[in-house]
Amino acid sequence: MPRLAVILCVLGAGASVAHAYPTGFQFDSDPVTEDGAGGVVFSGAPRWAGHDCSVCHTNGPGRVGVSLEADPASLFENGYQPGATYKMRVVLENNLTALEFAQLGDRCGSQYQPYNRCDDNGFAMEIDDANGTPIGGLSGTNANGDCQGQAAPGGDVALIANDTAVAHSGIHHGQAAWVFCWTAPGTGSGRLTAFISAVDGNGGDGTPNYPNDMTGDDTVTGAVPLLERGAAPPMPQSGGCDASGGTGSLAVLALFGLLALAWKRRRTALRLVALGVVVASFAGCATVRPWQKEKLAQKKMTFDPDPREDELDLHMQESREGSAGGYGSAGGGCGCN
Amino acid sequence: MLPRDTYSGLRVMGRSLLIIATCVGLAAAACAAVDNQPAPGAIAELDEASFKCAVEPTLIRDCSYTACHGNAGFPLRVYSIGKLRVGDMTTLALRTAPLTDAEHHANYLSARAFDYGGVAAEDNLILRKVLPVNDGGYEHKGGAIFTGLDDPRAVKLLNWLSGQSGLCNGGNL
Repeated sequence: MPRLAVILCVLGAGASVAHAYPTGFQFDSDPVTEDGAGGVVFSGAPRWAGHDCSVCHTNGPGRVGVSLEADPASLFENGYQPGATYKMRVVLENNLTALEFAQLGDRCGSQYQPYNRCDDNGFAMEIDDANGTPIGGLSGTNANGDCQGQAAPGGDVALIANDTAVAHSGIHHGQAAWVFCWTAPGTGSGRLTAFISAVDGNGGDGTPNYPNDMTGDDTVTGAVPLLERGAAPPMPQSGGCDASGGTGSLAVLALFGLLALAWKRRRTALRLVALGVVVASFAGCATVRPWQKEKLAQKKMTFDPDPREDELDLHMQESREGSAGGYGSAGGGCGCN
Repeated sequence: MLPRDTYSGLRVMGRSLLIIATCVGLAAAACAAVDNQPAPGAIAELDEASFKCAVEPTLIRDCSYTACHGNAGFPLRVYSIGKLRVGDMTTLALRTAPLTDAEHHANYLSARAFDYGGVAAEDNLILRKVLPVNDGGYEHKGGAIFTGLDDPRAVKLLNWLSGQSGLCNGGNL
């Protein structure tokens, strides 16, 4: 199968103790009553706030990559043909973690003696339109391993989140590539993006009692653009301007300037211009909400030359008076923090 | 009959006692009961039952991952099945056991703590931080979790933060 799109990136993460989802079907399980994610797909797509494998798998060495392949390969060369079906393959590159146990295949984990770590790899992927909505149709391959006709039950991939994404099914340990089918949407769908995240497990300190530890697992996430065949590439969007009141200020200033020009008496005209400046400055005002005061809340923005001493003084004052808040210090009347 | 000096001394003492009594009486009359007012930053008594059925599922589904809030060292610590647990987590069975009452209550306290300072429900950080920027969201390392203030999860959270109860029984969800 031709391989044309390759993503390689490394994610750093802090140490943590964790537990894995050995099957992608667990992404759909109810997290309140069982070990699941309630429909969250860890593909790194915007609809999941960019959540990917690294929200659980942490502290990996940072050496894996992932590639996306398509057949026909024209998907990447000429763009997708609306309505056409493509056979796709996600490949975990540099699958090194627990590779020494890969030859054991499914004979690993706590149910086999002697205990051997599993080479539990996984992935999640979805293809979204410019609005971040999944688009096109995902399915498994048929009994012959291609995309014609009915998809065979089972297989190495799982359709999750109401068939809007695809993930590992967890059937075969040591697996580092997954094949599935994608049918492109209709004409006019424009530029799409394939979001992919993959994990190289089990690099952690798995034990017979707890084989699914996720620390030490490497993760990788990336996005592949998919253009529509024959459609012009999207023009870059111009930068926005969020100067609240800016246009209004200029308009007010221009109005007062014209009035001043029309006025015959020079002194009055100057006053009019000055008044215009004042009014224009008010027109540029905007209500500042509490959450927009991040920089103003910084200690260096206080008027006091020594903000740390100021903070201490205020903290004592608040403790004495049973008051809370204001500025400069945290804590309340108990004096404890 | 008392000697004249003794009689005079008693009269002076009686006058002094009268003055003292008058002062005490006036002082007592000036006293007023002082009530202990609630602390200005007191945390509201938010409904725990409503939290458990309307808010906690969102926290567990969207926030409890181990690199996120399913970490005992992070703010808004969330216990959930398969991830962070109270106590022994060394076996799969222990990790995947149902949440205990203590863990549910700890999740409630984690979320309720964000009400500190008497902040308005719509400005509460537990709601505000995870909104898109256009709705006032900011500074959440995990990005915008809710799609907006009309996101059903945000609506439930806002109703709970506003002090509503009965959210499990067809309340204003």
